[in-house]
Amino acid sequence: MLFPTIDFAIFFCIVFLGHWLLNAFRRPWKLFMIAASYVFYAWWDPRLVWLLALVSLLAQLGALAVARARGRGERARRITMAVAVVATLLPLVWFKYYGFFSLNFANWLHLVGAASPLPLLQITLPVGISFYSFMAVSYVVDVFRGVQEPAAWIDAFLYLSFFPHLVAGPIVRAGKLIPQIEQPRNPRRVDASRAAYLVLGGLFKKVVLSSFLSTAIVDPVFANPAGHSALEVLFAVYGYAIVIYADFSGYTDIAIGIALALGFEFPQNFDRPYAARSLQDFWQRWHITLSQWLRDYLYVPLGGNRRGESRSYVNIFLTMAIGGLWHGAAWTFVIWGMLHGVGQVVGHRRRTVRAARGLAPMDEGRWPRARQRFWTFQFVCLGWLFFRADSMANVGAMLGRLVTGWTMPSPLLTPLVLLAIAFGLAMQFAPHRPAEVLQAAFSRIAPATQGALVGLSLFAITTLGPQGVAPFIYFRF
Amino acid sequence: MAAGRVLVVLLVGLLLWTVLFAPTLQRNAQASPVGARRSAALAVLAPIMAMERALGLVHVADAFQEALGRNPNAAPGGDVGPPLPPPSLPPPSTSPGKPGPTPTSTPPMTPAGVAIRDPTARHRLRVVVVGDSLAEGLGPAVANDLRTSVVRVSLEGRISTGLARPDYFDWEAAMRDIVAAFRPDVTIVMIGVNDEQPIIFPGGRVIDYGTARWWSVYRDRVAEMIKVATSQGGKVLWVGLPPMENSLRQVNARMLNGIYRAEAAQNPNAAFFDTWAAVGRSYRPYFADAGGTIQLMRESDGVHFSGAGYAFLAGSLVRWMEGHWGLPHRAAG
Repeated sequence: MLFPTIDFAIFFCIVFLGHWLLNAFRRPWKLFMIAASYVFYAWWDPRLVWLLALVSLLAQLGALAVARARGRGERARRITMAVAVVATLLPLVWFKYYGFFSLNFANWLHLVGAASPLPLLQITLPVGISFYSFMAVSYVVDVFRGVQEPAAWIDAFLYLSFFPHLVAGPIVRAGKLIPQIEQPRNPRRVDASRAAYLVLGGLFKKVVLSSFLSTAIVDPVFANPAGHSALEVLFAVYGYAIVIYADFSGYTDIAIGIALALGFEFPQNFDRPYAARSLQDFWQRWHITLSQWLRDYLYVPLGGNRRGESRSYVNIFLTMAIGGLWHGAAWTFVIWGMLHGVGQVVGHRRRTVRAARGLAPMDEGRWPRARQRFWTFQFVCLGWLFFRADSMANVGAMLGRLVTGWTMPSPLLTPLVLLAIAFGLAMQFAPHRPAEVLQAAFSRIAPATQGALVGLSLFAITTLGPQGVAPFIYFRF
Repeated sequence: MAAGRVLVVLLVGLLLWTVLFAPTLQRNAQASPVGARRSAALAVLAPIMAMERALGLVHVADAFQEALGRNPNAAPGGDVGPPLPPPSLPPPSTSPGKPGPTPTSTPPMTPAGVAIRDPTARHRLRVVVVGDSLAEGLGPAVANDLRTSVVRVSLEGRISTGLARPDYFDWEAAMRDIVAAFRPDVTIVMIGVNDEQPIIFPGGRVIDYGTARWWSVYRDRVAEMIKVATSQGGKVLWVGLPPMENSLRQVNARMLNGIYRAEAAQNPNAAFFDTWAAVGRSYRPYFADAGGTIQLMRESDGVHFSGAGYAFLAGSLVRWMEGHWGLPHRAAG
């Protein structure tokens, strides 16, 4: 079920009512929320509901086994944890990566004239599997590390299936969500003003900004680079930077807002990423919950920075490359991840050298900061080119057009397109204060007026948006 | 804020939105596929619209839409016609340039009409790709395979459209506008995946799917589409539906392809491209591209092509046009 649909609006009204009516009765409430979450998931394809249940089952069995192994030796504990993590990840590996690896394997063997023994299967990628699989892994590993006790079965199933985060995050840790599941929510203290602000703002970003730029410049240029000018190609890439930000942060804002309306607090996932002054800074602002997941469950187990500078660089590179592969089973995503890995390694090295010379990590001052932001954004956009392209040939065609297409007209570069891109960039530098004032003012007015404002805002958003809404970009990851 | 109060805000907001947006919702519901969902939506929206009309709220909602830059009476499938008509538009039959070579061999689907005119940088060949989501995917791939220096490609594919629902998007009318504005030398049509449903005309006349009448009317709509597209001397290359993963859809695709093939054969300036001959007669998600690399060619929905699949199909079409219509090699990218 997509958030910006009538189906979801009806679903949410029913769930909202049931949630608060059953809030005081914990077991019925948990069963109700699990059922609602599975209905939400089944709306895409009811045949894949079993998969969500299977991953939940594997994670819970794994967490219990890891907890039981605490009394045994370190080696037994580690083996139990490794088996549990691998078992939890197996469905993800099968559904997301089997096709990619079997296809590449077949083509490599084809080069030497051999046939692949692996059958080429077309496997449908279940929505959200990457997200709930990563949450399942973090749950098992947190139990292994002793920072989380195994939850009750019903709590573990609700933790992994809770619909606001189910299909595209944020990736919420067990230690953050399970305590909220265990305790009733306070029906007298719902942060509705912030929830409304996040949901309406998220809808605007997705339905209006992202959809407009996608159809106006990004999709046509990426589909046919040869038919467009260098300027159109350049601004299609900048446009995509805004599209993916508006799309994904818009989804996350809606998810956080919906959770807030139900009394749940989710972690922040975006913090004005295009205002970043370095790649390291960017990854502390972009998809924050994934960055933290990669740090805690991949970079640290690889050795982090505990085995010397050179090894830490290798670990950073590997973490980013695997992070790229997490986004999609294609070489374009792997290269995108490796590009960020190399960029981060260079950034780390540069800061180390500066520290050795007794300099601050980065130059300060208005112009140095502007320069750092500008180049970081250019590098991130270069990465988005790989991320958005459907093949390396597409990347080559886009880059080639950047070199050869400067004499062509640019009819797609309309004032509205430029304004939308400028607006998306300006959002990165907007202060927090006006939003807080707006929320405070909203909270003081009568409910009927609040409802009227919500209705008018929804009407403006749906009128300005295109008919029908494309699925969120991150649903396929 | 208390949860009860939040519910009041939520319900008031959604109610107001429903009332203001009801005209658009009703148009969309009328244009949606026939079924329980459509019936339920229309049943819910009917009293709301009656109330709106009685209170004059429709005008308020329309004025609000106009203030936001939208046409409140726009067709559900969007406006017709290409957005960027070219500056000079000689009709294809009188365009300058030498005719291309006559095909050396003539397979059964090849028409008897003249070859494509020889394009120049000044008078580029005009190619338009029309149809449903398959055409939306095919269009850019065709454009990538043709040189922009001598060919101009207009992409007019529209998602969720077909020939069965002129009440939603009228392809005949759209084709007339496209021909008038763009004067295409070649119209590539790929359509039909959304046509397994009743034919509904703008006035509300319904022809049930699968009846003899349905097939007859559908055949007439295909013929009319070809007639309009060739009315200014241009050619039509009707691209057959690909093999489908679902066996029922495969049967349907075979029957629709039969109609497309037969109607194209009736017009000397039209030809049918047999997609099944190019990609296989049964559904295969993986096969080798022109370079011999095995690629995932179909989307997991079992209907559409992947990017590599569209590129493969577009390459086959361009080669077909080179071989049968004398498309100059320098026009191919």
